[in-house]
Amino acid sequence: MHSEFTPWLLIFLVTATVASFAQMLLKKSAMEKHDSWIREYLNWKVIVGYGLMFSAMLLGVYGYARGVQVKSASVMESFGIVEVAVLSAIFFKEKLTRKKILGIALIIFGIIIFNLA
Amino acid sequence: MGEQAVNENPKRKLTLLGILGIQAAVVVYTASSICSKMASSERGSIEIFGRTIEGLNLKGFLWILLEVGCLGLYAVLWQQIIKRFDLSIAYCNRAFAVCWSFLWGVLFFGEQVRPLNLVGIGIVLAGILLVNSDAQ
Repeated sequence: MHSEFTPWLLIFLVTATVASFAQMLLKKSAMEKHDSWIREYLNWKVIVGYGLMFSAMLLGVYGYARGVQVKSASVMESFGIVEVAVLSAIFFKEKLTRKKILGIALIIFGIIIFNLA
Repeated sequence: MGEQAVNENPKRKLTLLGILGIQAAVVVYTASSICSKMASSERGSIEIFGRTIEGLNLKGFLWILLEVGCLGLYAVLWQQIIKRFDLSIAYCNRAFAVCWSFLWGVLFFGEQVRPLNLVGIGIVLAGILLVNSDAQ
């Protein structure tokens, strides 16, 4: 059995990264006070955030077109959880606790093991 | 967005039906990857308002539309879930998305189940649960 690893899998690290930054924008917007209900949704952060999400989605389709398997893509995208934890610590001063760091290490280790198959 | 509602409602105790409900939402979410994969095999072009858009054919665009629909529906369901359940319960359940996607890959696209895949997913799942358990 040869390895299933393909460099195109890395596209899903990019989609996870783009989606993680989008989450930061959405969270920033959710934390701000807005003049009206409609402004909560129609402001540049939300629009750019969802735009980034949509771009990530299309990039994912491109990755699949290059032969990436569904089972592998979802595991690669778990890296987004690592990124959200780190970005939240940077942008929102959310604590990177020992538990979180251990979880992050496990996720990265699991992704590597998965791709050794 | 849903924070206010979270504080107003008493949280429901977790029942089997509750877990099934949350997992149903997670299934809707992971169905988006099926749509993505389906769209990816529909290469071609379509014409909209006299302009040709290269990349996907009409079927491909419809799959993408369905994917957006899945994600939209999931967003609505998720808001309802975090209103009714503790965030820790909600996130714990959502971690299983990685297992559902694996199942879809195997069931719908004939992808192989390899032992190291299963070990890797188990470790990733443990990691996600650990990160989420401290994320409140």
